[in-house]
Amino acid sequence: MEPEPKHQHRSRRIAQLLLSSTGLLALLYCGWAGLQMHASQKAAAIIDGPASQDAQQQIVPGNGPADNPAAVIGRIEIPQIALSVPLMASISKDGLLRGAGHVPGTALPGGLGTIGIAGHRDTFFRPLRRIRPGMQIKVIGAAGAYRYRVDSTEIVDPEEVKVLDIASRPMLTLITCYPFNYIGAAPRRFIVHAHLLSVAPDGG
Amino acid sequence: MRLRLLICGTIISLGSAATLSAAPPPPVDPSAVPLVSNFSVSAPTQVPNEKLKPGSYSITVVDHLSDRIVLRIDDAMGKIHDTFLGVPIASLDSGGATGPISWNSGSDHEAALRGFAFPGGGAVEFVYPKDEAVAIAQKSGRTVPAIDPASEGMVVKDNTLSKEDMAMVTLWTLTPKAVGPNDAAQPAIQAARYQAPQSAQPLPQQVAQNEPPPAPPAPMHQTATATRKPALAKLPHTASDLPLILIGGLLSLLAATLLRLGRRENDGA
Repeated sequence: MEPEPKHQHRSRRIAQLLLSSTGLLALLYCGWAGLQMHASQKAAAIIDGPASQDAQQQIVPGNGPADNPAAVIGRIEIPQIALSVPLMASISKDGLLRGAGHVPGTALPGGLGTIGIAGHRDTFFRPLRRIRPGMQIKVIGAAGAYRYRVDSTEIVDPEEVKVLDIASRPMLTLITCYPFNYIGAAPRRFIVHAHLLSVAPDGG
Repeated sequence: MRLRLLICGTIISLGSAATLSAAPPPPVDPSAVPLVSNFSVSAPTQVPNEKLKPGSYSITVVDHLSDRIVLRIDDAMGKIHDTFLGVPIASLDSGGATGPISWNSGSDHEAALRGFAFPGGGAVEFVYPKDEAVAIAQKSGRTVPAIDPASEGMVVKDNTLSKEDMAMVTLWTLTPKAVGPNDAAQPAIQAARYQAPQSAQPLPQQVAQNEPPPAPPAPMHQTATATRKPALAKLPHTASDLPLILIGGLLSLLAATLLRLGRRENDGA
């Protein structure tokens, strides 16, 4: 076999270096994202109701929760599909990296209105594929823990913002992208509708 | 034949009369509620957003909206204490008396006002903020009208909503109800959108008899049922870049490893 020309050898080496660095950077980014998720999970785990006054402060309208996407304001739990996700104050890119985001302008956990919560289908909200009507969703916020019961699911276009409208009773709307196995920006949205069982928080 | 027709006609007439007499009394027309009434409380008394100290107060009907009334409580010195919403109702268990009406189903919560019966028969039920309404519903076991401005992104300043928000805020009713076995001791509080009485048609824009004719209707008089601005123009994009970045990173490392192996083979040769 003829020896490789020097310039080809050099370019192969550069390509190898570039590919290695890109791969390592990508893995480092994923590791960093994993750490962020872990940190928000940890912060969400200590939110357990009215004692968490800081979280309450962060979500009060006018206090600018959207300015701090890293603010953890609660936790969502659906034990039947092993989902436990931190609830962030906004649906910004940064907020959705760390957990599910509270849609600004919608109700607060346990509030009178419709609370909108969005999450990535390929990270935190992936288990939503298995959600079924009748399952219970627990939303723990600064004011306490509230239980919702799943009524239905539907698949809609991104323009269908009416899923967040105020209904005849307090509702919870979970939003994630659809199809679940799509790689990249999925064209549709998967919606879970649930209603609030009691306006009074658990044990409240 | 004539006799049969006569009997049928009589039965139908009697039936209609019975139906009419059995019909519930029509809800109070809020525009008939007088504008100001005085009252006093002898113990600390909860009203929406505030607890009144013992003393003399006046309650004023500030505005009539399509399904709600804006009320204001002033003290004897004329200082504004509280501005809040009420809903008109036909009767408020006041026993014909006028003045403040308490939530009177127990001694420990008599100090919360349910509403006010104005002289002349008009009665208004107070609408409490959610947390206060939940507490009252739990104690009294009765349905309480409520609002939750924070859940609609509204800012409450000095315990009061802006005029626009008062017209826009959604009215709810909170009702204690046992929905599960765990609710025996502490029933769930179920919420439902407030339904205005059937005859609560768009009211005449009568604010005060002694004021000059009002200007063209302000938007706040029409907005209780107005379309709310949606929270978003589009549902959020919820696909993370992480899977793509991870796949890209792993493929890059794989390609780098293959290149290195290829180079080694060349070097070996």
